[in-house]
Amino acid sequence: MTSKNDYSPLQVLSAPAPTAYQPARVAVDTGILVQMIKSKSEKGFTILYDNYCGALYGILMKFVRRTDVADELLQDVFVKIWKNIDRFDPAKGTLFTWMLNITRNQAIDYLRSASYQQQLLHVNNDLFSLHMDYIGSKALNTDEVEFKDIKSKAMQLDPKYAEVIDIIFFYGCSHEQAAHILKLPLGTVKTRVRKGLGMLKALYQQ
Amino acid sequence: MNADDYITSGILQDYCLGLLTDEEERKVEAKCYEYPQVAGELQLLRQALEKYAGSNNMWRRDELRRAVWEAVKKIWEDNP
Repeated sequence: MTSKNDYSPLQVLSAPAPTAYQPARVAVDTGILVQMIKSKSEKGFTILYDNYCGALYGILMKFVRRTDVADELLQDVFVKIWKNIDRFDPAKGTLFTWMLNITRNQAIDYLRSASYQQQLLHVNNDLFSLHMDYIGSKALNTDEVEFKDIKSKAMQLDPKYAEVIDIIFFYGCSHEQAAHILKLPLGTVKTRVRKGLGMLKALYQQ
Repeated sequence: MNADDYITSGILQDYCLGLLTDEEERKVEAKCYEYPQVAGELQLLRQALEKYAGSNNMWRRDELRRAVWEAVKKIWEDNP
């Protein structure tokens, strides 16, 4: 367990009086958060989990499409983060992007693994629908109607926006790499990724 | 730049997608504290991305958080 003083090194930005909105992330200096992880702080774990886990878990699900597998891989990702925190170099990128890359690599390693290949041998149907149905059966607060709604809304996003989000966020390409792969002007890629995410937000708000 | 202009600038989308520098990330987080409206917008964008990926808040399950925490603690026990 950690002591009460565990929070003392935090430089949480002074927040206004409580409002209807919660801050999207607890604003903690990355250097301090890294130190908290190194010093085995439970509070450091909590901040890291709450601030970043949604994005990391999203990447895992996008790749493996199964909650049971994503759960296991998430544990592996956190173990890697904790084991390799000394290798994190802020000069090369943010803590967020460093963790995104660990997560992508973990998911890709799984897809290359013998267990996944074995799993594929038993799949005779449309892989995508099979996995999607499986997720539906495992969804939190199993609500099939809600799940189908989420799935159908994802399909409503124009492919030209979906492809830039997929390539940049899930596969970790830069704007420049995405422009090269998609044979699009750099400005178009930048515009589409922003617009695409804005459109997703609108779709899920409906 | 006021909150509305900031929201429509596109920087919140870049933040969610991990495309910002450390300094830019901090500026966005500071804006979230300054303007709850910005924090709310960022929250919606992040949720949309999670739903699109198919995660749908499943990372919030207590049992998963506990399992991840136990996995991390085990490293400490193995490497005191």
